[in-house]
Amino acid sequence: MKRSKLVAPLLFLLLWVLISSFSLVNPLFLPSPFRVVLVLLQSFASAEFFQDIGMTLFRLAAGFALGMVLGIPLGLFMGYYQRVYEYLDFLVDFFRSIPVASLFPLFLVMFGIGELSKIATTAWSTSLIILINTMYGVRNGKKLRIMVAKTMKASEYQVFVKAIVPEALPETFTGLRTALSIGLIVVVLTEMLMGTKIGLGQRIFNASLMYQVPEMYAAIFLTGLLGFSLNKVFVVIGNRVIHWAGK
Amino acid sequence: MQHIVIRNLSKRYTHSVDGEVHYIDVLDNVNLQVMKGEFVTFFGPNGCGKSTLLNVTAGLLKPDTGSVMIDGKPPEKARIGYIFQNYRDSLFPWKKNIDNIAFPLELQKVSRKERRKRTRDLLSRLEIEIQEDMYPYQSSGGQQQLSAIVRAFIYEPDVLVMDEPFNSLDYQTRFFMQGKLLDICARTSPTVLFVSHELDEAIYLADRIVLLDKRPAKIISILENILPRPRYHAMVETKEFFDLKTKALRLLKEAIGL
Repeated sequence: MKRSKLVAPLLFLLLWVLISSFSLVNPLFLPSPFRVVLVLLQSFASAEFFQDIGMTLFRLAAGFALGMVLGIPLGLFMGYYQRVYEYLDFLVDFFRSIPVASLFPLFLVMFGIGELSKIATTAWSTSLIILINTMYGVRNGKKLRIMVAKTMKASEYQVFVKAIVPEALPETFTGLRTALSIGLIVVVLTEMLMGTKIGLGQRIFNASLMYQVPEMYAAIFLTGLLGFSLNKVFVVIGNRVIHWAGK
Repeated sequence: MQHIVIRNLSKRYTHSVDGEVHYIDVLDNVNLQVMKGEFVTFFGPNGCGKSTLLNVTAGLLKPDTGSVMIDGKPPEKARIGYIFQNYRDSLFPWKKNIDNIAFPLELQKVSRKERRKRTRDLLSRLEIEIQEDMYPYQSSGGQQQLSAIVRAFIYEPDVLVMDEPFNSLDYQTRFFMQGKLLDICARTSPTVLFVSHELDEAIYLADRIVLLDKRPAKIISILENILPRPRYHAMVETKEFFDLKTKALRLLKEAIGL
Protein backbone atom coordinates (compact mmCIF):
# COMPACT_ATOMS: atom_id res chain seq x y z
CA MET A 1 0.00 0.00 0.00
CA LYS A 2 1.20 3.49 -0.82
CA ARG A 3 2.13 5.59 2.15
CA SER A 4 0.08 8.50 0.82
CA LYS A 5 -3.05 6.44 1.29
CA LEU A 6 -2.52 6.52 5.05
CA VAL A 7 -2.39 10.31 5.29
CA ALA A 8 -6.10 10.99 5.16
CA PRO A 9 -7.11 8.31 7.71
CA LEU A 10 -4.41 9.50 10.11
CA LEU A 11 -5.51 13.12 9.76
CA PHE A 12 -9.08 12.03 10.35
CA LEU A 13 -8.04 10.22 13.49
CA LEU A 14 -6.03 13.23 14.67
CA LEU A 15 -9.03 15.48 14.16
CA TRP A 16 -11.17 13.08 16.17
CA VAL A 17 -8.61 13.04 19.00
CA LEU A 18 -8.44 16.84 19.01
CA ILE A 19 -12.19 17.31 18.99
CA SER A 20 -12.78 14.83 21.77
CA SER A 21 -9.86 15.93 23.96
CA PHE A 22 -10.96 19.57 23.84
CA SER A 23 -14.58 18.44 24.27
CA LEU A 24 -15.65 20.42 21.21
CA VAL A 25 -18.52 17.99 20.80
CA ASN A 26 -20.54 16.52 23.65
CA PRO A 27 -18.72 13.25 24.51
CA LEU A 28 -22.13 11.58 24.70
CA PHE A 29 -22.26 11.83 20.89
CA LEU A 30 -18.58 11.55 20.17
CA PRO A 31 -16.47 9.55 22.64
CA SER A 32 -12.71 9.62 22.27
CA PRO A 33 -11.24 7.17 19.79
CA PHE A 34 -9.19 5.57 22.57
CA ARG A 35 -12.38 4.76 24.40
CA VAL A 36 -13.88 3.23 21.28
CA VAL A 37 -10.81 1.10 20.64
CA LEU A 38 -10.79 -0.02 24.27
CA VAL A 39 -14.44 -1.04 24.09
CA LEU A 40 -13.78 -2.82 20.81
CA LEU A 41 -10.91 -4.77 22.35
CA GLN A 42 -13.01 -5.63 25.38
CA SER A 43 -15.79 -6.88 23.16
CA PHE A 44 -13.47 -9.48 21.74
CA ALA A 45 -13.56 -11.16 25.11
CA SER A 46 -17.28 -11.81 24.91
CA ALA A 47 -18.84 -14.73 23.10
CA GLU A 48 -21.91 -12.69 22.09
CA PHE A 49 -19.74 -10.38 20.07
CA PHE A 50 -18.53 -13.25 17.90
CA GLN A 51 -22.04 -14.59 17.68
CA ASP A 52 -23.15 -11.23 16.30
CA ILE A 53 -20.40 -11.17 13.70
CA GLY A 54 -21.02 -14.81 12.81
CA MET A 55 -24.75 -14.32 12.42
CA THR A 56 -24.38 -11.25 10.23
CA LEU A 57 -21.86 -13.05 8.07
CA PHE A 58 -24.09 -16.11 7.85
CA ARG A 59 -27.09 -14.07 6.71
CA LEU A 60 -24.96 -12.23 4.20
CA ALA A 61 -23.42 -15.43 2.86
CA ALA A 62 -26.77 -17.20 2.58
CA GLY A 63 -28.53 -14.24 0.97
CA PHE A 64 -25.63 -13.54 -1.37
CA ALA A 65 -25.32 -17.18 -2.41
CA LEU A 66 -29.01 -17.33 -3.16
CA GLY A 67 -28.73 -14.04 -5.02
CA MET A 68 -25.97 -15.53 -7.15
CA VAL A 69 -27.86 -18.72 -7.86
CA LEU A 70 -30.85 -16.68 -9.02
CA GLY A 71 -29.11 -13.70 -10.59
CA ILE A 72 -26.39 -15.26 -12.73
CA PRO A 73 -28.48 -17.79 -14.71
CA LEU A 74 -31.34 -15.34 -15.16
CA GLY A 75 -28.90 -12.62 -16.23
CA LEU A 76 -27.26 -14.93 -18.77
CA PHE A 77 -30.67 -15.97 -20.05
CA MET A 78 -31.96 -12.42 -20.35
CA GLY A 79 -28.78 -11.20 -21.95
CA TYR A 80 -28.69 -14.00 -24.50
CA TYR A 81 -32.28 -13.98 -25.68
CA GLN A 82 -33.28 -10.60 -27.01
CA ARG A 83 -36.97 -11.58 -26.75
CA VAL A 84 -36.70 -12.50 -23.08
CA TYR A 85 -34.89 -9.22 -22.48
CA GLU A 86 -37.68 -7.27 -24.15
CA TYR A 87 -40.30 -9.08 -22.08
CA LEU A 88 -38.61 -8.73 -18.72
CA ASP A 89 -36.54 -5.55 -18.99
CA PHE A 90 -39.30 -3.28 -17.74
CA LEU A 91 -40.18 -5.55 -14.83
CA VAL A 92 -36.58 -5.89 -13.68
CA ASP A 93 -36.07 -2.16 -13.96
CA PHE A 94 -39.17 -1.57 -11.86
CA PHE A 95 -38.25 -4.15 -9.21
CA ARG A 96 -34.84 -2.68 -8.68
CA SER A 97 -36.38 0.75 -8.27
CA ILE A 98 -38.38 -0.39 -5.24
CA PRO A 99 -36.51 0.64 -2.07
CA VAL A 100 -35.77 -2.65 -0.39
CA ALA A 101 -36.79 -1.33 3.05
CA SER A 102 -40.33 -0.85 1.76
CA LEU A 103 -40.47 -4.58 1.16
CA PHE A 104 -39.56 -5.53 4.75
CA PRO A 105 -43.18 -5.76 5.89
CA LEU A 106 -44.08 -7.88 2.89
CA PHE A 107 -41.19 -10.28 3.45
CA LEU A 108 -42.06 -10.46 7.16
CA VAL A 109 -45.59 -11.48 6.28
CA MET A 110 -44.41 -13.98 3.73
CA PHE A 111 -41.44 -15.56 5.52
CA GLY A 112 -42.04 -14.85 9.22
CA ILE A 113 -39.71 -13.22 11.71
CA GLY A 114 -37.09 -15.97 11.56
CA GLU A 115 -33.93 -16.18 9.48
CA LEU A 116 -35.77 -16.85 6.24
CA SER A 117 -37.19 -13.36 5.84
CA LYS A 118 -33.79 -11.72 6.37
CA ILE A 119 -32.03 -14.04 3.98
CA ALA A 120 -34.80 -13.69 1.41
CA THR A 121 -34.60 -9.89 1.59
CA THR A 122 -30.85 -9.97 1.09
CA ALA A 123 -31.23 -12.45 -1.77
CA TRP A 124 -33.81 -10.19 -3.41
CA SER A 125 -31.51 -7.18 -3.37
CA THR A 126 -28.33 -8.96 -4.38
CA SER A 127 -29.93 -11.07 -7.11
CA LEU A 128 -31.26 -8.01 -8.91
CA ILE A 129 -27.86 -6.34 -8.95
CA ILE A 130 -26.13 -9.52 -10.10
CA LEU A 131 -28.78 -10.17 -12.72
CA ILE A 132 -28.50 -6.73 -14.30
CA ASN A 133 -24.72 -6.76 -14.42
CA THR A 134 -24.58 -10.27 -15.85
CA MET A 135 -27.18 -9.35 -18.43
CA TYR A 136 -25.26 -6.31 -19.60
CA GLY A 137 -22.07 -8.36 -19.58
CA VAL A 138 -23.65 -10.66 -22.12
CA ARG A 139 -25.20 -7.88 -24.17
CA ASN A 140 -22.02 -5.79 -24.26
CA GLY A 141 -19.80 -8.72 -25.16
CA LYS A 142 -17.74 -8.43 -28.33
CA LYS A 143 -19.84 -9.71 -31.21
CA LEU A 144 -16.69 -10.47 -33.19
CA ARG A 145 -15.62 -13.20 -30.77
CA ILE A 146 -18.98 -14.87 -31.14
CA MET A 147 -18.58 -14.64 -34.90
CA VAL A 148 -15.09 -16.16 -34.65
CA ALA A 149 -16.48 -19.14 -32.76
CA LYS A 150 -19.30 -19.48 -35.27
CA THR A 151 -16.99 -19.41 -38.29
CA MET A 152 -15.16 -22.33 -36.70
CA LYS A 153 -18.40 -24.27 -36.55
CA ALA A 154 -18.96 -24.01 -32.83
CA SER A 155 -22.32 -25.36 -31.72
CA GLU A 156 -24.75 -22.97 -30.09
CA TYR A 157 -23.89 -24.48 -26.72
CA GLN A 158 -20.16 -24.03 -27.37
CA VAL A 159 -20.64 -20.42 -28.42
CA PHE A 160 -22.51 -19.81 -25.19
CA VAL A 161 -20.07 -21.57 -22.87
CA LYS A 162 -16.80 -20.69 -24.57
CA ALA A 163 -17.46 -17.17 -25.81
CA ILE A 164 -20.51 -15.54 -24.28
CA VAL A 165 -20.09 -16.58 -20.64
CA PRO A 166 -16.40 -15.67 -20.29
CA GLU A 167 -17.14 -12.46 -22.18
CA ALA A 168 -19.72 -11.58 -19.51
CA LEU A 169 -17.45 -12.46 -16.59
CA PRO A 170 -15.87 -9.05 -15.92
CA GLU A 171 -19.23 -7.31 -15.64
CA THR A 172 -20.71 -10.20 -13.70
CA PHE A 173 -17.89 -9.88 -11.24
CA THR A 174 -18.47 -6.15 -10.87
CA GLY A 175 -22.07 -7.06 -10.11
CA LEU A 176 -21.00 -9.57 -7.47
CA ARG A 177 -18.83 -6.99 -5.78
CA THR A 178 -21.52 -4.35 -5.73
CA ALA A 179 -24.06 -6.92 -4.58
CA LEU A 180 -21.85 -7.94 -1.67
CA SER A 181 -21.55 -4.37 -0.46
CA ILE A 182 -25.26 -3.72 -0.83
CA GLY A 183 -25.93 -7.13 0.73
CA LEU A 184 -24.15 -6.14 3.92
CA ILE A 185 -26.18 -2.94 4.10
CA VAL A 186 -29.40 -4.91 3.67
CA VAL A 187 -28.44 -7.51 6.29
CA VAL A 188 -27.65 -4.82 8.86
CA LEU A 189 -30.93 -3.09 8.04
CA THR A 190 -32.93 -6.27 8.44
CA GLU A 191 -31.24 -6.89 11.75
CA MET A 192 -32.32 -3.48 12.95
CA LEU A 193 -35.84 -3.50 11.57
CA MET A 194 -37.01 -7.07 11.11
CA GLY A 195 -36.49 -8.27 14.65
CA THR A 196 -33.66 -10.48 15.89
CA LYS A 197 -31.56 -10.90 19.01
CA ILE A 198 -28.26 -11.53 17.29
CA GLY A 199 -26.33 -9.64 14.61
CA LEU A 200 -24.22 -6.52 14.21
CA GLY A 201 -27.21 -4.43 13.20
CA GLN A 202 -28.98 -5.39 16.38
CA ARG A 203 -25.86 -4.67 18.42
CA ILE A 204 -25.64 -1.16 17.00
CA PHE A 205 -29.34 -0.59 17.49
CA ASN A 206 -29.33 -1.80 21.11
CA ALA A 207 -26.26 0.23 22.01
CA SER A 208 -27.96 3.32 20.67
CA LEU A 209 -31.17 2.64 22.60
CA MET A 210 -29.20 2.30 25.83
CA TYR A 211 -26.92 5.26 25.13
CA GLN A 212 -23.87 3.00 25.13
CA VAL A 213 -22.30 5.28 22.59
CA PRO A 214 -18.71 3.89 22.59
CA GLU A 215 -20.17 0.40 22.11
CA MET A 216 -22.21 1.71 19.23
CA TYR A 217 -19.16 3.27 17.60
CA ALA A 218 -17.21 0.08 18.09
CA ALA A 219 -19.92 -1.97 16.37
CA ILE A 220 -20.24 0.55 13.54
CA PHE A 221 -16.50 0.52 13.03
CA LEU A 222 -16.42 -3.25 12.96
CA THR A 223 -19.26 -3.44 10.46
CA GLY A 224 -17.44 -0.96 8.25
CA LEU A 225 -14.25 -2.94 8.54
CA LEU A 226 -16.13 -6.09 7.57
CA GLY A 227 -17.57 -4.50 4.44
CA PHE A 228 -14.23 -2.98 3.54
CA SER A 229 -12.36 -6.28 3.94
CA LEU A 230 -14.94 -8.28 1.99
CA ASN A 231 -14.68 -5.81 -0.85
CA LYS A 232 -10.89 -5.93 -0.82
CA VAL A 233 -10.87 -9.71 -0.87
CA PHE A 234 -13.22 -9.62 -3.83
CA VAL A 235 -11.01 -7.16 -5.69
CA VAL A 236 -7.98 -9.41 -5.18
CA ILE A 237 -9.88 -12.48 -6.36
CA GLY A 238 -11.27 -10.50 -9.30
CA ASN A 239 -7.85 -9.35 -10.46
CA ARG A 240 -6.69 -12.95 -10.40
CA VAL A 241 -9.64 -14.60 -12.08
CA ILE A 242 -10.58 -11.84 -14.52
CA HIS A 243 -7.00 -10.84 -15.23
CA TRP A 244 -7.80 -9.67 -18.77
CA ALA A 245 -10.49 -7.14 -17.84
CA GLY A 246 -9.81 -3.66 -19.14
CA LYS A 247 -6.74 -4.75 -21.10
CA MET B 1 -10.19 -27.64 -60.92
CA GLN B 2 -12.45 -24.75 -59.95
CA HIS B 3 -12.39 -24.51 -56.19
CA ILE B 4 -14.57 -21.50 -55.49
CA VAL B 5 -17.29 -20.53 -57.92
CA ILE B 6 -19.04 -17.21 -57.36
CA ARG B 7 -21.93 -16.73 -59.75
CA ASN B 8 -24.08 -13.65 -60.39
CA LEU B 9 -23.73 -12.46 -56.83
CA SER B 10 -25.79 -9.44 -55.82
CA LYS B 11 -26.53 -8.05 -52.41
CA ARG B 12 -28.42 -5.03 -51.20
CA TYR B 13 -28.88 -3.71 -47.71
CA THR B 14 -32.21 -2.29 -46.70
CA HIS B 15 -32.75 0.08 -43.85
CA SER B 16 -35.64 2.31 -42.96
CA VAL B 17 -35.41 5.90 -41.86
CA ASP B 18 -38.65 7.32 -40.43
CA GLY B 19 -40.66 4.55 -42.05
CA GLU B 20 -39.10 5.17 -45.44
CA VAL B 21 -37.25 2.16 -46.81
CA HIS B 22 -33.86 2.81 -48.35
CA TYR B 23 -31.80 0.42 -50.42
CA ILE B 24 -28.07 0.32 -50.77
CA ASP B 25 -26.75 -1.97 -53.45
CA VAL B 26 -23.39 -3.30 -52.34
CA LEU B 27 -22.67 -6.12 -54.76
CA ASP B 28 -23.70 -6.04 -58.37
CA ASN B 29 -23.52 -9.26 -60.34
CA VAL B 30 -20.11 -10.50 -59.23
CA ASN B 31 -18.70 -13.53 -61.05
CA LEU B 32 -15.42 -15.11 -60.06
CA GLN B 33 -13.74 -18.48 -60.12
CA VAL B 34 -10.80 -19.33 -57.90
CA MET B 35 -8.49 -22.28 -58.27
CA LYS B 36 -7.28 -24.40 -55.40
CA GLY B 37 -4.16 -22.97 -53.83
CA GLU B 38 -4.61 -19.59 -55.46
CA PHE B 39 -3.95 -16.33 -53.66
CA VAL B 40 -6.54 -13.78 -54.76
CA THR B 41 -6.60 -10.22 -53.47
CA PHE B 42 -9.44 -7.75 -53.70
CA PHE B 43 -8.73 -4.09 -54.13
CA GLY B 44 -11.18 -1.25 -54.38
CA PRO B 45 -12.22 2.02 -52.78
CA ASN B 46 -13.19 2.10 -49.12
CA GLY B 47 -16.77 1.13 -48.47
CA CYS B 48 -17.19 -0.40 -51.93
CA GLY B 49 -18.41 -3.72 -50.60
CA LYS B 50 -15.18 -5.71 -50.39
CA SER B 51 -15.97 -6.97 -46.92
CA THR B 52 -19.52 -7.80 -47.93
CA LEU B 53 -18.20 -9.86 -50.83
CA LEU B 54 -15.90 -11.68 -48.43
CA ASN B 55 -18.64 -12.27 -45.88
CA VAL B 56 -21.03 -13.63 -48.48
CA THR B 57 -18.30 -15.90 -49.83
CA ALA B 58 -17.56 -17.10 -46.31
CA GLY B 59 -21.23 -17.81 -45.70
CA LEU B 60 -21.58 -15.20 -42.96
CA LEU B 61 -24.08 -13.28 -45.07
CA LYS B 62 -26.72 -14.53 -47.48
CA PRO B 63 -26.67 -13.15 -51.01
CA ASP B 64 -29.89 -11.77 -52.49
CA THR B 65 -29.26 -13.38 -55.82
CA GLY B 66 -26.59 -15.66 -57.17
CA SER B 67 -24.60 -18.33 -55.41
CA VAL B 68 -21.26 -19.25 -53.93
CA MET B 69 -19.98 -22.79 -54.15
CA ILE B 70 -16.85 -24.11 -52.51
CA ASP B 71 -15.91 -27.53 -53.85
CA GLY B 72 -19.52 -27.85 -54.93
CA LYS B 73 -20.83 -27.14 -51.44
CA PRO B 74 -22.48 -24.00 -50.10
CA PRO B 75 -20.05 -21.97 -47.97
CA GLU B 76 -21.83 -22.85 -44.72
CA LYS B 77 -20.77 -26.44 -45.30
CA ALA B 78 -17.16 -25.56 -46.13
CA ARG B 79 -14.40 -24.87 -43.62
CA ILE B 80 -13.55 -21.19 -43.69
CA GLY B 81 -10.57 -19.79 -41.84
CA TYR B 82 -11.54 -16.20 -41.23
CA ILE B 83 -8.97 -13.64 -40.18
CA PHE B 84 -10.34 -10.30 -39.14
CA GLN B 85 -8.70 -6.91 -39.10
CA ASN B 86 -9.42 -6.47 -35.41
CA TYR B 87 -7.20 -9.11 -33.83
CA ARG B 88 -7.80 -7.63 -30.39
CA ASP B 89 -11.47 -8.54 -30.51
CA SER B 90 -11.02 -11.76 -32.42
CA LEU B 91 -8.71 -13.45 -29.92
CA PHE B 92 -10.01 -14.62 -26.54
CA PRO B 93 -8.27 -12.53 -23.88
CA TRP B 94 -8.93 -15.13 -21.18
CA LYS B 95 -6.93 -17.75 -23.07
CA LYS B 96 -3.17 -17.99 -23.37
CA ASN B 97 -1.78 -17.51 -26.87
CA ILE B 98 -1.27 -21.23 -27.37
CA ASP B 99 -4.83 -22.01 -26.28
CA ASN B 100 -6.14 -19.29 -28.56
CA ILE B 101 -4.45 -20.97 -31.49
CA ALA B 102 -5.74 -24.36 -30.36
CA PHE B 103 -9.31 -23.08 -30.02
CA PRO B 104 -10.64 -24.79 -33.18
CA LEU B 105 -9.32 -28.09 -31.79
CA GLU B 106 -11.02 -27.37 -28.48
CA LEU B 107 -14.30 -27.01 -30.38
CA GLN B 108 -13.60 -30.39 -31.96
CA LYS B 109 -13.23 -31.78 -28.43
CA VAL B 110 -9.57 -32.72 -28.83
CA SER B 111 -8.00 -33.22 -25.40
CA ARG B 112 -6.01 -30.35 -23.94
CA LYS B 113 -2.73 -32.21 -24.06
CA GLU B 114 -3.22 -33.35 -27.63
CA ARG B 115 -4.27 -29.95 -28.91
CA ARG B 116 -1.28 -28.23 -27.32
CA LYS B 117 0.96 -30.81 -28.89
CA ARG B 118 -0.60 -30.33 -32.31
CA THR B 119 -0.34 -26.57 -31.95
CA ARG B 120 3.35 -26.78 -31.08
CA ASP B 121 3.91 -29.12 -34.03
CA LEU B 122 2.26 -26.68 -36.40
CA LEU B 123 4.19 -23.74 -34.98
CA SER B 124 7.49 -25.49 -35.44
CA ARG B 125 6.51 -26.69 -38.91
CA LEU B 126 5.74 -23.09 -39.87
CA GLU B 127 8.84 -21.88 -38.01
CA ILE B 128 6.78 -19.41 -36.06
CA GLU B 129 7.58 -18.42 -32.53
CA ILE B 130 4.74 -17.42 -30.27
CA GLN B 131 4.97 -16.54 -26.61
CA GLU B 132 2.86 -19.54 -25.73
CA ASP B 133 2.19 -18.85 -22.09
CA MET B 134 1.46 -15.16 -22.49
CA TYR B 135 -1.99 -13.76 -22.87
CA PRO B 136 -2.90 -11.81 -26.03
CA TYR B 137 -2.94 -8.49 -24.16
CA GLN B 138 0.65 -9.13 -23.12
CA SER B 139 1.75 -9.64 -26.72
CA SER B 140 2.38 -7.14 -29.50
CA GLY B 141 -0.16 -6.49 -32.23
CA GLY B 142 1.88 -8.45 -34.75
CA GLN B 143 2.12 -11.42 -32.40
CA GLN B 144 -1.61 -11.30 -31.81
CA GLN B 145 -2.48 -11.29 -35.48
CA LEU B 146 0.07 -14.05 -36.07
CA SER B 147 -1.74 -16.12 -33.44
CA ALA B 148 -5.02 -15.46 -35.23
CA ILE B 149 -3.49 -16.56 -38.53
CA VAL B 150 -2.05 -19.77 -37.10
CA ARG B 151 -5.41 -20.39 -35.40
CA ALA B 152 -7.04 -20.25 -38.82
CA PHE B 153 -4.48 -22.71 -40.18
CA ILE B 154 -4.91 -25.23 -37.42
CA TYR B 155 -8.55 -25.37 -38.41
CA GLU B 156 -7.35 -26.80 -41.75
CA PRO B 157 -9.60 -24.53 -43.77
CA ASP B 158 -10.74 -25.09 -47.34
CA VAL B 159 -10.43 -21.36 -47.84
CA LEU B 160 -8.59 -18.69 -45.91
CA VAL B 161 -10.48 -15.43 -45.84
CA MET B 162 -8.59 -12.34 -44.71
CA ASP B 163 -10.26 -8.98 -44.30
CA GLU B 164 -7.59 -6.26 -44.23
CA PRO B 165 -5.69 -8.26 -41.62
CA PHE B 166 -2.65 -6.01 -41.38
CA ASN B 167 -4.37 -2.64 -41.29
CA SER B 168 -4.04 -2.05 -37.57
CA LEU B 169 -0.33 -2.85 -37.56
CA ASP B 170 2.50 -0.39 -37.89
CA TYR B 171 4.41 -0.15 -41.15
CA GLN B 172 7.35 -2.31 -40.17
CA THR B 173 5.23 -5.05 -38.60
CA ARG B 174 3.10 -5.03 -41.70
CA PHE B 175 6.10 -5.92 -43.87
CA PHE B 176 7.08 -8.63 -41.46
CA MET B 177 3.58 -10.09 -41.45
CA GLN B 178 3.32 -10.04 -45.24
CA GLY B 179 6.55 -12.01 -45.38
CA LYS B 180 5.31 -14.45 -42.74
CA LEU B 181 2.05 -14.96 -44.56
CA LEU B 182 3.80 -15.65 -47.86
CA ASP B 183 6.08 -18.07 -46.07
CA ILE B 184 3.18 -19.94 -44.47
CA CYS B 185 1.40 -20.06 -47.83
CA ALA B 186 4.47 -21.41 -49.56
CA ARG B 187 4.56 -24.25 -47.03
CA THR B 188 0.87 -25.11 -46.99
CA SER B 189 -0.52 -23.72 -50.30
CA PRO B 190 -3.94 -22.72 -49.04
CA THR B 191 -6.56 -20.94 -51.11
CA VAL B 192 -6.61 -17.33 -49.92
CA LEU B 193 -9.09 -14.53 -50.45
CA PHE B 194 -7.50 -11.35 -49.19
CA VAL B 195 -9.06 -7.92 -49.01
CA SER B 196 -6.72 -4.96 -48.93
CA HIS B 197 -6.96 -1.26 -49.45
CA GLU B 198 -3.24 -0.96 -50.09
CA LEU B 199 -2.55 -1.48 -53.77
CA ASP B 200 1.09 -2.44 -53.17
CA GLU B 201 0.07 -5.09 -50.69
CA ALA B 202 -2.69 -6.38 -52.96
CA ILE B 203 -0.24 -6.81 -55.85
CA TYR B 204 2.70 -8.06 -53.83
CA LEU B 205 0.85 -10.97 -52.23
CA ALA B 206 -1.40 -12.05 -55.06
CA ASP B 207 -1.57 -14.51 -57.89
CA ARG B 208 -4.51 -12.50 -59.16
CA ILE B 209 -5.79 -9.08 -58.15
CA VAL B 210 -9.50 -8.38 -58.42
CA LEU B 211 -10.17 -4.69 -58.94
CA LEU B 212 -13.54 -3.57 -57.67
CA ASP B 213 -15.61 -0.55 -58.60
CA LYS B 214 -16.99 1.85 -56.05
CA ARG B 215 -20.30 0.81 -54.50
CA PRO B 216 -22.06 -1.27 -55.70
CA ALA B 217 -18.98 -3.42 -56.13
CA LYS B 218 -18.62 -5.05 -59.49
CA ILE B 219 -15.46 -6.41 -60.95
CA ILE B 220 -13.62 -3.88 -63.11
CA SER B 221 -10.86 -6.21 -64.08
CA ILE B 222 -8.78 -9.12 -62.86
CA LEU B 223 -5.02 -8.76 -63.16
CA GLU B 224 -2.51 -11.52 -63.04
CA ASN B 225 0.72 -11.14 -61.10
CA ILE B 226 3.27 -13.33 -62.81
CA LEU B 227 6.15 -12.42 -60.52
CA PRO B 228 7.77 -15.67 -59.41
CA ARG B 229 7.50 -17.14 -55.94
CA PRO B 230 9.00 -17.02 -53.42
CA ARG B 231 8.33 -13.33 -53.35
CA TYR B 232 10.55 -10.94 -51.48
CA HIS B 233 10.07 -7.32 -50.81
CA ALA B 234 12.62 -5.99 -53.27
CA MET B 235 10.23 -7.13 -56.00
CA VAL B 236 8.08 -4.07 -55.47
CA GLU B 237 10.87 -2.16 -57.20
CA THR B 238 10.93 -4.32 -60.32
CA LYS B 239 9.59 -3.17 -63.66
CA GLU B 240 6.97 -5.93 -63.71
CA PHE B 241 5.57 -4.76 -60.40
CA PHE B 242 5.60 -1.16 -61.49
CA ASP B 243 3.84 -1.95 -64.78
CA LEU B 244 1.18 -3.95 -62.98
CA LYS B 245 0.57 -1.16 -60.55
CA THR B 246 0.34 1.41 -63.33
CA LYS B 247 -2.11 -0.77 -65.18
CA ALA B 248 -4.24 -1.24 -62.09
CA LEU B 249 -4.28 2.47 -61.40
CA ARG B 250 -5.24 3.26 -64.97
CA LEU B 251 -8.11 0.77 -64.87
CA LEU B 252 -9.33 2.14 -61.58
CA LYS B 253 -9.05 5.67 -62.85
CA GLU B 254 -11.17 4.89 -65.90
CA ALA B 255 -13.83 3.14 -63.83
CA ILE B 256 -14.03 5.37 -60.80
CA GLY B 257 -12.70 8.60 -62.17
CA LEU B 258 -9.89 9.11 -59.70
